Amino acid sequence: MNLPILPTTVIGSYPRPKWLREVIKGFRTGRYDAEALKEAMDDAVIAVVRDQEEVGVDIPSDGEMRRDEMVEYFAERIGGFKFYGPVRVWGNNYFRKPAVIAKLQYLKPIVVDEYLFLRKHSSRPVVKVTITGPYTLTDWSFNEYYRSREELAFDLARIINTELKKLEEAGCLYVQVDEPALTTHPDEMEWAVQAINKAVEGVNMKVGLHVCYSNYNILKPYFDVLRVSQFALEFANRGFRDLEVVKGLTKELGFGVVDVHSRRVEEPEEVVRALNKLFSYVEPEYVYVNPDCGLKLLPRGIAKAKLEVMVRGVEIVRKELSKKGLTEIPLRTKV
Amino acid sequence: MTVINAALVGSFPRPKGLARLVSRFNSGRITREKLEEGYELHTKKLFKLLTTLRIKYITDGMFRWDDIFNPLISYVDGVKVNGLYRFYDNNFFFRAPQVVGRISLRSDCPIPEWFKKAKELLNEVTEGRSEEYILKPVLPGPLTLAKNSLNEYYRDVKDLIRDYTFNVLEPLMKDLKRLGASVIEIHEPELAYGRASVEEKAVGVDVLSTLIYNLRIRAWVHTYFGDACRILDYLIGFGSYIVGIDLTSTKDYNACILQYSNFKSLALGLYDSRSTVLERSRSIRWCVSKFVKLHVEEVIICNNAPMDFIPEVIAVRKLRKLSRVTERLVVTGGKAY
Repeated sequence: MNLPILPTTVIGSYPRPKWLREVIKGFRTGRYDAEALKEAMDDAVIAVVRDQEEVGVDIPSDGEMRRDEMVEYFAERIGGFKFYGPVRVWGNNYFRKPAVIAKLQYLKPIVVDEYLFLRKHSSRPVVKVTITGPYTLTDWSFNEYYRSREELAFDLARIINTELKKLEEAGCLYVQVDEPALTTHPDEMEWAVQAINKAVEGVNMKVGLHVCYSNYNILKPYFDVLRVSQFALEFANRGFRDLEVVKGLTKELGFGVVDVHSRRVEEPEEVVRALNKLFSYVEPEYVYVNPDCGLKLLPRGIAKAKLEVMVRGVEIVRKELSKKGLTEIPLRTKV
Repeated sequence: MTVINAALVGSFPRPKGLARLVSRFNSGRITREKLEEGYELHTKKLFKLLTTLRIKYITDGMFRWDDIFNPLISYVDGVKVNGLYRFYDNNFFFRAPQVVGRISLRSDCPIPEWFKKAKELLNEVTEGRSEEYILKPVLPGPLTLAKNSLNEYYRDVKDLIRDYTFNVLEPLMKDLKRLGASVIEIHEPELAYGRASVEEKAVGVDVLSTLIYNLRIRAWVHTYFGDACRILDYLIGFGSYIVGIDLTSTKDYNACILQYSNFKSLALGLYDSRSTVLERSRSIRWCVSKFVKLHVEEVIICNNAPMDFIPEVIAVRKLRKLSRVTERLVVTGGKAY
């Protein structure tokens, strides 16, 4: 299967429509039942997939409409977690950080239904499903049960691996493992990388790895060790500094070109400049283009505008690349 | 005879109700007055908890702060507030100071006023007995500020450390002293975490101790996220003040405990602000008793680091345990049994 050169995609999350937030609030207070909530979530997925496709994104996600948060969602569906309450992540943003209080258990498929619904409602040949990786689930949980974090991470890797295989069986072509915490503890990198490799063992679909707001110099030595075909990294937030880190990358790069923590909508020319700067380090045939991270904290209109800017910028660069005969790339599962 | 006291170090988890108000204020749905009412209400609730638990050294929970740098850096000329960066090895992020010019504190910095307000609230909660408690304003240290900055102006980071000390912290600490701060808590995780060079750390310690000495204030220099045995050489520079060490990150405190006998006041970070596991009181008492045997003037039992990293309910449980352990140690004269 081929994709246009510089395939545009999202990292995963997208702002929930206001009406969905109202229904969720109503569900929590008993005003709406589970059926009404499911219907609203389904409708929201259709709406945000349309947002992405309207502006020209090649590989949409379901916007993670059903997920309140990337660790919470999985912790609620894996046996052995408990929630004590919200914890601050930055500024005035919180998440319900779970605690592991018993041996973890795979209960039933976690995101397979999400994939099937997205597949049914997207017009694009490839869609992206995101799944939080074993190391981030470990790092963003309190461990009250396992003797070590490593032991916990490998148990989570086993669970994620089961889920990835079920996704593949369901026909999924492209999954992104989210590991924003990966470089947090440099002394744990060796086993953290092995835990991710364990999670993707025997998986044959395309696997990307998203790492953001991190020191990429810590990640770099593991580019070749990690059994994924793509690294989706954040660069707009850091003003496209540190690009040297991807020099010599032998895999694909998912290049973050718009800042998801700023409400300023970038100009397409900024995307063009960033891509041209990147091409000194990575060949265009190995570049995907995406926002820095999930868009969910932005107002929906701004998120959509940012995606549009991203696509317009890519279109300008594509025109230049087409003059060199570069118009398509294959959907690579292995690089 | 060693005096034993309890303390809250740094922040207390911003309550969800207050976070909701902040969010509403940020999106223009409530007025500044409504938000201020929220700050007052939740600060008073925290003071009520801390005074009920008879915790001697307290903070206002730092409810107005997003992290240990913000909003301070928005009141510094020469600094722009940049993107999000990870706070050491935590799933916690801060807006980084981007240094684009010579730095100096602006005159409209509200931090001293916030301290004054918190003092009034404490007085109200304690019905005039606020002297029984020591309310500490909390500030980031110059080394930590400099090493977490995106420095685009200073050729030498050591000059940035100096300017953070004398152009930013000095005027602020002077104001805080003027408004009655008897102890100022200065956070220097950078000293313990170990990214800064030996030279940078030495400059950081030198300028901060000079500042503290010149201002004639009682300072509490708190280090965390690193092994207390590895940083002894630096901490000696603060020997006559209160020195905070993170014993939850210290592999074997027995290896260096004797060298801490040269210190005057030690704040032992024994309650882990990054774990929901509740510490065993017996182990804590055992550890404290060893430090008491050093015959330092004061041993303070506290959390190791700001409490933003745990849920509020766990923070409360830890403070309750901390308070009970301290009371028992006071009764036994610092003996573990």
